[in-house]
Amino acid sequence: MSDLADLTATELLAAFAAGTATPSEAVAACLARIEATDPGINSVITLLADSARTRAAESDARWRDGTARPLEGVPYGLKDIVATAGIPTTGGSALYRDHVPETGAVLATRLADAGGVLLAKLATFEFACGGAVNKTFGPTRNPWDPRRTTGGSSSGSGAAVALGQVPLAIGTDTGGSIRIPSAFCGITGMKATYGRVPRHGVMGLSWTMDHAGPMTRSVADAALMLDVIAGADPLDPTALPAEKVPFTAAVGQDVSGLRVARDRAFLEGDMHPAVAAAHETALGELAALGVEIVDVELPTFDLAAVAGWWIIYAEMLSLHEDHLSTIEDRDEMGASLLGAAPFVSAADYLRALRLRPVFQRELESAMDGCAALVTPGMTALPPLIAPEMTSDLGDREVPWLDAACRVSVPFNLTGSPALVVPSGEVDGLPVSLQFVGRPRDEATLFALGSAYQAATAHHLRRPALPAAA
Amino acid sequence: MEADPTIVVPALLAAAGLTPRPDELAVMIADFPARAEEIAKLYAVPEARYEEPALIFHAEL
Repeated sequence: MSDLADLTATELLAAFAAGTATPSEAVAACLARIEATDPGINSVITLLADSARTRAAESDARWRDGTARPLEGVPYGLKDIVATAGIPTTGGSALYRDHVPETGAVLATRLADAGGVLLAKLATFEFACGGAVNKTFGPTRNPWDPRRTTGGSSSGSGAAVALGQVPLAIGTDTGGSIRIPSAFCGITGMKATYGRVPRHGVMGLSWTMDHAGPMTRSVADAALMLDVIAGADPLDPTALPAEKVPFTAAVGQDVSGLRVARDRAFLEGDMHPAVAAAHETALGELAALGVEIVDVELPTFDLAAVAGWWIIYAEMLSLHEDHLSTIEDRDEMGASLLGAAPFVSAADYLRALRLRPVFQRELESAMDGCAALVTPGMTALPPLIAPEMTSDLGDREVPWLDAACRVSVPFNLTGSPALVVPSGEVDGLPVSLQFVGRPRDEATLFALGSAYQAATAHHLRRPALPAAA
Repeated sequence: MEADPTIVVPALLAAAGLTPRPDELAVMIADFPARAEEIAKLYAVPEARYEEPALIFHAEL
């Protein structure tokens, strides 16, 4: 039998149902994988081995009794800005090193109530906005090349899922923090529509830009996990009601005949040449599914990133106002972002908010007649870890956030759902496609992503493990 | 008249209660004109003039 740590959640559930594996065996396999791989990668902040074994034994009994729930016995990890009752939640920061919440985040409760087994709290850039070199917990290294970053801020979630430490993890995404590490680590990541996943209990960075969502090794697993964590929440007034049809119903649907838009000007306009070439190949694979790819224009999208960052600056300063006096204790990138916030006036913030519906309408208009938009998942390869990282665009180096957020932050601004799936490799490192949908239309993205994964094997490629694993 | 970054930047930082190191301050002063230019671009989109700023955001128009 395959190592259970290499199975997806969907495969694990099938094995549990068939009686060929148990949750206890799956948890043991994931714990062994963590022991073998984490010393060199540093995905895990808090390992919950004992409680996971206890929960897994309870799940074993539920499978025997016929009372299994949707994620019964499946191990998962949470980015360590998601509050967990009675379990440390550090935010990746020295300021919260000993913080133990009394209540858990709504999404954490939903995963536990669905039978999932929480195995670990996972590394994050400090407060989801610090740099790759977390000075309190150390950097998380990319499983494909430990000299390089996973990206972030959901750094531990990206590496843990890629390595088989857990099949499912939660990430959060204010400017790309689910999609960037998903792309850099070669996994599947879903930033659903703004409000799709309740954020109560998740440390906030920017309340109109923050999203939480699944990071997995398949589109089917992302749909499965989103079905569990989505839905209305009285504690989060922005949370959307649950859809009548589960997202998993979209997996495997026929996509031939769908029209998908691409924007060559801005979203594909500044890429490393080898990444650009891989993107064209991936679009060819998409077209081979019967998907028609058409050119569209997004003439003011170059301003979307600017507006997005200005909103993040202003809201971050407001949410972190208590931390200003301790800014010297912060990681460098977080401190520099927070330090930039005073330069955003109230009028600038409101101007950026007023621009938001302009971008929403521009995207809606561009997608007229199209089922989705497709972009590169990332415009460059993962940078080498450094205090001030840069991305290689072939003819020059640019600040890594400029390259990484170019294709991600505009869709935090519009609140659109966006799904990243592996689409190949360049120099042994993963590259990805991003599908962007209309608000509340995650189903089309799951259909496109699952069709692409059914026809290609990019998502099955895994990083090499240490010999002991 | 354009604001002098060597005056505006320290003043804004002081108002926010921030005291960066001299080398950090120098970077912020050097970056300020580019930031101001980016912000100016946001004011050059006429369609935004009559939009409502949504402090509680909804993705659907």
